[in-house]
Amino acid sequence: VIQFILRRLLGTLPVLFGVTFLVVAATKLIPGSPGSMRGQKMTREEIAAIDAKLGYDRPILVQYGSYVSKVARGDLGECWRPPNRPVWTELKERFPATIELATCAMLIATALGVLLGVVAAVRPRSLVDWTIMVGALVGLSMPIFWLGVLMQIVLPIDQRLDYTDTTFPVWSGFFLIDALRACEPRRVFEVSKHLLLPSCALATIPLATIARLTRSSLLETLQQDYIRTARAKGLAPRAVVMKHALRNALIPIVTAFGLQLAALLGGAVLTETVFSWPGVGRFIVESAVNKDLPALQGAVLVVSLVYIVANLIVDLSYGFIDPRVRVE
Amino acid sequence: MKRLAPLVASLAALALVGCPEKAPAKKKSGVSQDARDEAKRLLDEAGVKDLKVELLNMDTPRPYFPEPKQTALLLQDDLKKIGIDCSLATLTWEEYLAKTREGAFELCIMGWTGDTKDPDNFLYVLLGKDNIGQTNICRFADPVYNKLCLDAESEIDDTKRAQLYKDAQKIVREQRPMLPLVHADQLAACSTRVKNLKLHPTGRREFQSVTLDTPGEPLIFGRGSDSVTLDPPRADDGESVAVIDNVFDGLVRYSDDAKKIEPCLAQSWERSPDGKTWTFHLEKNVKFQDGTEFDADAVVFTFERILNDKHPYREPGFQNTALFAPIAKVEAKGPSIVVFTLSRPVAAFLDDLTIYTARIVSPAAMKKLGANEFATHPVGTGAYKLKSWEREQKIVLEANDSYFRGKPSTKEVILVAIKENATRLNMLKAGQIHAMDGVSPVAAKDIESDPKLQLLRQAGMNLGYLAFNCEKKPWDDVRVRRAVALAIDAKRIVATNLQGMGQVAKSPVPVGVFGWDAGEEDAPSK
Repeated sequence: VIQFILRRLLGTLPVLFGVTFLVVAATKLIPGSPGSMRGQKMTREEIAAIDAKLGYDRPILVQYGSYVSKVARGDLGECWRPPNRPVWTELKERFPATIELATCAMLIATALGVLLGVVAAVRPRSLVDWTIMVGALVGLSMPIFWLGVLMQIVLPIDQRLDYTDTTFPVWSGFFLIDALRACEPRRVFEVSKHLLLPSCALATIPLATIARLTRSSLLETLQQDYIRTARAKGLAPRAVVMKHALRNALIPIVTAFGLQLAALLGGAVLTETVFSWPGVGRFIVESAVNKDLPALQGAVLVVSLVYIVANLIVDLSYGFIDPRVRVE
Repeated sequence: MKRLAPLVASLAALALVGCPEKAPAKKKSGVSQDARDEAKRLLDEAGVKDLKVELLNMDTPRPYFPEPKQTALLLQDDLKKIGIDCSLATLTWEEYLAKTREGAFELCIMGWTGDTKDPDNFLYVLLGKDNIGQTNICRFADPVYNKLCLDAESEIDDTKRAQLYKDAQKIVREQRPMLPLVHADQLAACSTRVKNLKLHPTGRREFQSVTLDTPGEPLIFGRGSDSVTLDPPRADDGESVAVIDNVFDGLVRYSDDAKKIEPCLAQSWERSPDGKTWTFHLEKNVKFQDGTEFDADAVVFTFERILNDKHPYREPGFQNTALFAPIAKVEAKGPSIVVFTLSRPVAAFLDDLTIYTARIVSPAAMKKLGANEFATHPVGTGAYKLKSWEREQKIVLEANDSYFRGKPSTKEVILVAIKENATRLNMLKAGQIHAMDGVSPVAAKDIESDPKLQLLRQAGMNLGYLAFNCEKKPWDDVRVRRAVALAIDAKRIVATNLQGMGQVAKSPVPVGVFGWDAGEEDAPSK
């Protein structure tokens, strides 16, 4: 198993090289340089001086090479945009918010998704099934930023968390946990209110995916011989579905869960932007529009790593859920 | 059930419209049908048919355009009436700067906040040929115009100078490289507990004489964002300048009504008859906040840093350097006399010296800390010294009791960054902060009706304009630019976007600035 893990991790190196290089290339292709974005009252010479200092005027390969060697020494560099904080510090501050949002969204998606999937599967081709599946299709196809804006209009809660409230002690960086720890019911309520809309918006796609997968996987399992046996034994229909069928139908659901969670952890770029959620996704957007290359590369690098590791964990978890696929 | 009806209605409306933009308010148009017909005729004459154009607007409020998207929608509506199909594109401010500098646009709304009360700061900066690729985003390359501006810059005789600017503004009206739209008022608000908080015509923000009704309590001022740098020459954003205004002093300063220039670190000055040599007699016994002596060497150090891009304490990103390019030499003649030698006379030299870029820094602190450390630990001679700075959160300023222009009235000023306008206003109403800026014109109406709050309003030294890219077809044709100018209703922008808190711009130069001229149209009719 160790060897398997090592092989997989080694295989991710080209991916990491690839994504970071794409970031440089894409940034270079768009007109404008970091210097030209820094204030209205500068001469051409000053703009050029900024670009030269940041190394943006060098050829793309030289620039990329020096970045790789820096990262290899464990240094993600400093943000180009003022106040020029280290990229790693910025990311560290923003990850908890993203994890918090992703976890809430996945909790909603899994609980509701599995439930709806089971309900649909036990009555295949009924009106209930049909409704749930159409609903899931809508959820899957609806652009999340549109849904987000719509929710903000229809449910007029002030969704933006005032994270500039500096008097509040930061302990874990998770808003909800910090609020619970401080035992401040008002703050807990505020935070939950702010979490609710973005996590619901973010949950739609994983929810739809999980519901559809649960249904199809469960339908397939329900046709197996051992289900007929269980039924023939005279077990209650509920026990047949929940104990015998659902557990065996779980593999694709776990896969979907893992991949969706990984994708959300990578920063829900659209949702975080629409709801001004101070997470990694918004950091990526801000860095991109500022042509803040080190920040963008650092964020993309870390996000890809998270995705890859989550993928690996999903693969490994199969062995525990289903002994048949254990790796030698 | 009661809530469901509007919900369904709004959903239906959304489905129909597709996006939640407010339609421009219907008001009596300030553009006559004749003007529109003339515009159409000009377009025909230029051979332009079914014109499709992209209009850029920025996503963040600017002092001159508090609601850029809404302004763009109004312009779109006006252009539609003369048959120009205009699509909108919204960009962040950083992208906006890059794109407009490089000329990668056709039409855009843009603006400028003047730092000095001099027309050069608008006419030459925004439309001078030499500034293409920098501030002249219209890419207007008229040599006659450029020469008028340069001549005016060096003209010491005020009457002749005013005439030169008058001619220059006439060219702007005829050639229409840009269409001036609005001069927006500056807006701020404070609780009635605060006294003597004033808005300065040039946007300068000083806390020296501001008081709270309970002495000893720190004054808390809410603003939209944090400062970026406190190194005077590198500052460009209002939030950095607001702190620099309090920590540093210049040689001279504008009076409180900005009508004249008064002594500051320089007690008095003389200009040589040819206008090329300026001698400043400095204030004696002034100390920097680090205890070191302010003297002529500090002035020389400050200006050499701005003039020489190889200076050991120079970092890239100095702003406004072009303003000081005419300075050939700065010399100390004794401990309290400084002589500036210019390569050509500069009529508005004193005005230029009032700008935040030219505030005097402590050479000892700069040498001890280095330029980058200095930018977060500034040392000047000003009324307040920096006590602490938590990035993106707050800056605490502490009174400099030995300030040479008098002890500040308030012991401590805390500048808090609160991003959301609505949150900031709520905090003001709840008494959590005492004053704020970044007040939108709509919120201003709300503040005016609140007995516990007072609204501060002051005409701004700014210009919001519509820029044509004079290098791109068909905008290189003056007839097309004039057609657009005829069709646009700037009054409506002032009435709806600014809620009347501002005025229609008739020239790139704000009203009240030297040499302002709007042409014959404003001459009293017989």
